[in-house]
Amino acid sequence: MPEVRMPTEDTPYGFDEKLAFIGKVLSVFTHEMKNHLAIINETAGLLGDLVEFGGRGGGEFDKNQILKTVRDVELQVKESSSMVTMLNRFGHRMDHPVSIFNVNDTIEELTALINRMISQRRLSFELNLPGGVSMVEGNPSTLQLLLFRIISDIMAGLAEKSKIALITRQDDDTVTIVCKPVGEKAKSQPVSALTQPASQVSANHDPADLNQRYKRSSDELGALVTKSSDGVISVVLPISNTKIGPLAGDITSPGASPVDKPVE
Amino acid sequence: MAIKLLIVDDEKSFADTLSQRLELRGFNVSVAYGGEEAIESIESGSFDVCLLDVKMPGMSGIDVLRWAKEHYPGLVVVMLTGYSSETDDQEAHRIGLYAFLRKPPDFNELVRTLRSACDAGKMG
Repeated sequence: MPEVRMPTEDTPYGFDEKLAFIGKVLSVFTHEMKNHLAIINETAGLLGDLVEFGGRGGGEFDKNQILKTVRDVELQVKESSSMVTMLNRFGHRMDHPVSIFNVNDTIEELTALINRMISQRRLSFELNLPGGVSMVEGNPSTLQLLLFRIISDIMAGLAEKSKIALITRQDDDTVTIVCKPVGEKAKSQPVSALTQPASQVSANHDPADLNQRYKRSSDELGALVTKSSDGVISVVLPISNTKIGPLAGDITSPGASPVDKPVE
Repeated sequence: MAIKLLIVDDEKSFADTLSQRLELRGFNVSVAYGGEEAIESIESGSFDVCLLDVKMPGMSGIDVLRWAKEHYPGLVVVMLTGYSSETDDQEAHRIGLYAFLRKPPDFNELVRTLRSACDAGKMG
């Protein structure tokens, strides 16, 4: 598949970048689903084989293996359904220009949807998302785009078997998302399949340039993005002051749309 | 004589299930769960056909195909992927791929393709 090239710093941020982001999420998701369907297809086929071959010549069916195979199909369908729910929520994040949303949910959703992209590089996510983090106000899909860029940049600089840690923290009137590379640095900077790595934008990783790189999204969110000398990128978001009633829907229900509350 | 087949796929459930189904149809199947493992298997075994996934962490299916065609030109390779890329398809055929199938495969078509791939390998 041709690489998705995100616009560079010379390209105005905007709709094209969001489209590229959505396209990348969809291509990773559909690849994942193709694999899920292939497993379901072969497992169902195996079930038929067990009945057909087991019953030949008046032989006995292997009841335990048949039951195990049925459970495998059920499990795979459940996993696939969970992925589809994630994509459904991801789509619904764009229903309103501004809403009140839970940061942890947006991170869980994004990381689930792009997990294959990370695992293909033999990297993994390490999430530390404590409960009780206040809601923030803005466009959740813009936050996901910003995090996607940050994750892509961190990913480009990491050696295989490293991790990308995402941690949320509540302070007085802000929620901070800490994006941290854990493990060895890549010996040579591979070209990211998603975006020009930060190193190509700024050879010396100048924080000012990094801020410029994330500027459009962070401005939209009213967020502050900072990078420490050890490569940790923090996104600080103001918590919402808007009073809201109980949120409709249950985010844990299969097929539920996000509980984002639109802000009029 | 049973066709000696190597399945290479990082999706363990898929590779194992496919292996069981093909064994029921008389194939002699080995499984490798990644590109590097595939190379070890090819070097230590003697296979008629290799059924190879394209997108795998680390060494990709195209990398394995390229290596196999250089070191074991007699090995017939069929690729199987959920990743729809014409670029990969063209590159794989240029290197010497026998056939390219999409996931999820039609099982009967897969069996036919693997048998004809084996025949093609024996005819040189």
